[in-house]
Amino acid sequence: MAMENQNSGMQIFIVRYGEVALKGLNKPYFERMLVERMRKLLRRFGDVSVRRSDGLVFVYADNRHRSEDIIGEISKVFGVTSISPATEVESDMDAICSAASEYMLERMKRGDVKTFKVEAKRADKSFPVPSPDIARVVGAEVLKRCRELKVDVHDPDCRIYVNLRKGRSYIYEDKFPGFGGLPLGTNGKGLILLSGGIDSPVAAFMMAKRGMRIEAVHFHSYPYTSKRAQEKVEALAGLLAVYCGRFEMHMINLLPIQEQLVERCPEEEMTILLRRFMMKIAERLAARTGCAMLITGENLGQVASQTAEALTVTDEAAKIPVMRPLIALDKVDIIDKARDIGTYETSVLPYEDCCTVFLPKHPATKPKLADILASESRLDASSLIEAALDSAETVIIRPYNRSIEGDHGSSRDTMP
Amino acid sequence: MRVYLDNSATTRPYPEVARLVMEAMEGVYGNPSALHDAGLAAEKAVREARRRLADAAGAEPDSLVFTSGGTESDNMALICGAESGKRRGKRIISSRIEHPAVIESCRALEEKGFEVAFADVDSHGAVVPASVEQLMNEDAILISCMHVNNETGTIQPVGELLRLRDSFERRVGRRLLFHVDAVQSFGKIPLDFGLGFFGKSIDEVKDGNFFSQYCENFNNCRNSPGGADLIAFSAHKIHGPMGSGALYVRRGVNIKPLIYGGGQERGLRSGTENVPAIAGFGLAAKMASERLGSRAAFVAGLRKRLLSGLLSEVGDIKVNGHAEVLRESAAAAGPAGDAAGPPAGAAQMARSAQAARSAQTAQAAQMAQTARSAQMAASPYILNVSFRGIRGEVLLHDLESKGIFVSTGSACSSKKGGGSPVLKAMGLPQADVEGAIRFSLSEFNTAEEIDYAVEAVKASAARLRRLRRFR
Repeated sequence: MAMENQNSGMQIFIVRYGEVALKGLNKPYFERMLVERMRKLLRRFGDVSVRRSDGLVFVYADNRHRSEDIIGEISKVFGVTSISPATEVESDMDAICSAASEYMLERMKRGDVKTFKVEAKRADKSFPVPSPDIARVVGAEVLKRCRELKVDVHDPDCRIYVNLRKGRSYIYEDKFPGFGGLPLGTNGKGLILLSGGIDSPVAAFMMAKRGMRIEAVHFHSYPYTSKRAQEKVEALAGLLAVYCGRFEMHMINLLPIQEQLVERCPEEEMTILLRRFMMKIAERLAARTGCAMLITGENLGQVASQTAEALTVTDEAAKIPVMRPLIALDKVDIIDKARDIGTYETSVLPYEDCCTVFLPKHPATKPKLADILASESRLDASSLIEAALDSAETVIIRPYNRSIEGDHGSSRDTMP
Repeated sequence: MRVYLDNSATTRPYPEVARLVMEAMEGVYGNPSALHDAGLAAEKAVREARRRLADAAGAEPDSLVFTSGGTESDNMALICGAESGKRRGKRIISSRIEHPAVIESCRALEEKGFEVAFADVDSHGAVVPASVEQLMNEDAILISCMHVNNETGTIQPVGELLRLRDSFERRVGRRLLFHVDAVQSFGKIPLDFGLGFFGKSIDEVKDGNFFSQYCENFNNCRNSPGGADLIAFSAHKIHGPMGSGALYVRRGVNIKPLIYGGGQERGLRSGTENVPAIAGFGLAAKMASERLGSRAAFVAGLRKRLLSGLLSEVGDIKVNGHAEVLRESAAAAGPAGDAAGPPAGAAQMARSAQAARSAQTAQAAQMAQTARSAQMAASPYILNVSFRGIRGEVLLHDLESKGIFVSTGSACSSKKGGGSPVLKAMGLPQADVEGAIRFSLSEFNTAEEIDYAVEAVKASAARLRRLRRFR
């Protein structure tokens, strides 16, 4: 196939993965998961070959695809640290020199290059020329062909890499960064409490990046929250699915619980009590769906329900581990991450979530567990939880769900 | 049951209109500008639609420009009207309750160096003529006012404003253009601009024959020197297709186009005509105007039924806009109200036409005196109500889950003190602004639907008011 005949109709990408390589005995398993995930995401391009060789992954794709699209797809695979489009040649010094020179001539047409440097890596140790010599020889050859260029080993405009392997060598320049992390599916499954805000998608992303499969639960207060708000959360989940693959999301209406809270509990405890209900419902859902832990977007001190005291009381509600990957991040950093993964614009669409609907005027910021438990004892907690679970609606979330177009906000302030 | 009560947003097309649009798409696909027969057929379809619209609007066919809808018509009126008058002055006068198509056009004109002044409205949501008069200074070149407000249904005193404009023109000795946004009135109530129902309340004129007779002479003032210069129309508010509208440009008013190109619509609106939608618009305009009076009366009956139901079954509500008289009488009538009958048949209309005609002279005499109180009158198609202790948006969603579709002026931004600019301009307290729901009716609604809606609102309100502490 492509490897054997140097097919000019193919483009080649070298994909590096970081941490995966460090995993000792599990290494083959992690590598296999990584390649599987890449194959899955690249399947839509049709005939793409993904191969592993000596700590790198080589991707061969037909030239008719845009290389940005292929790189974009590969970069969504957790575990990938960087991607480079590459030129493939025979592992022969003359061939490498001439290919490197050709590459440079092409490169100079594209942009302003005055200085360059060649770096070489000899993966095939049986090759007679050592790495520094390869770099020197190739660099000299490039200089001969491109007379106006100068070598700058410290801060070159263009850095060309030569990767010399058994039989084949690769010449490349740019490295496009990946997200790093670990291949999806190598670290169990967690249930994310997805609100529709900025934080929870980032929290889900961060856990998924460590190899965790995700499933989601969304709490709403219809009709106090709208169907469009639910659609927005589905759109957000669809953006997550781009990285995490297809998953299920359970939609649960909290209004019956909120109604009872309004009737029977002190106003300032509304939010914290509701959050405890969410944890309990989520815990039950997790047990049903094979999730070992919960994931939330909670962040220390961000709102009244996320003070140290409030988090303590919330945490007590669930017995299984609760992951809070954002706990110590600043809001600006969370926003940056949300922009990075592409969920920010959808997150900021203006729909209410269930927590803001019955917002007490003065929420308890330092709730005491004993008080909260006492309030809870006045409620039909277990039947409320059962009813909530029974009413759950499950939606299948698939990648690229962009049903929300973001133009509702502007038209909703005025009447047609 | 599915009850569509959002007819001021858009209406279900008449089946006849839908069929005609389909036929036009399948059979009349030539370009009206093409020289061959296929083009001629399309041109004929547009000409026929223009004639129908002209008949319905009481205008000459060549004073109508087909556009993409009410918004484009308003944009064209404001922007092109202002441009045409920029040598005379810089001031544009409008009101605080106009549709965004007008308000935002005004803002764009402000950026171009024009000066925009917005007149005040009273607590019924009617523009205060004195406020407009005050704003009519030497620099004024264009007045824009809607005929029926889209949120409250309040009929605006356009006739009175036109008279103010006339006396300004006489005094200053130059033209002051007048634009009417008739999107919510055309095909629903007579286009007599502010005379309302001869100053009578809806209850007094709910007899279908009165309306039928009334609309025979409805827009006499249109093409007289005292008439409006520009009028915006929309098709989809009167059971026509979306994406079609028109602008009336009075003969002798010279404006430049907003959109340039192949010179269609006498050069005023280039772009290949939307033939199927225009054909549909023509038919919808014809159908709406033919049965205008009996439909309005039928719908007035439904609105009364709805209001009395809400007053007696739900309670703790406030009617926004016009309906002082209406509210009292409806309260007295009790929950059942008057049983709303079907639109009056053609035979019945014809029988009483003669009797009505003899009454016409006397009514015309009354017109001038009652014009001032006419601003109390309202379009029978709209009922705007604030539910105390409930946020409108929440009620909207609860009703939606029961198959009832209504509208609210406020979005979820209401927590941040948002809400309908129209209701705010009327001086409503914030809680009432946030609790407002607009029910807008059409001839397709039935008394059963209204009763179902009242029951549904009753149940929803009871549930939601239990949480009123948090709203």
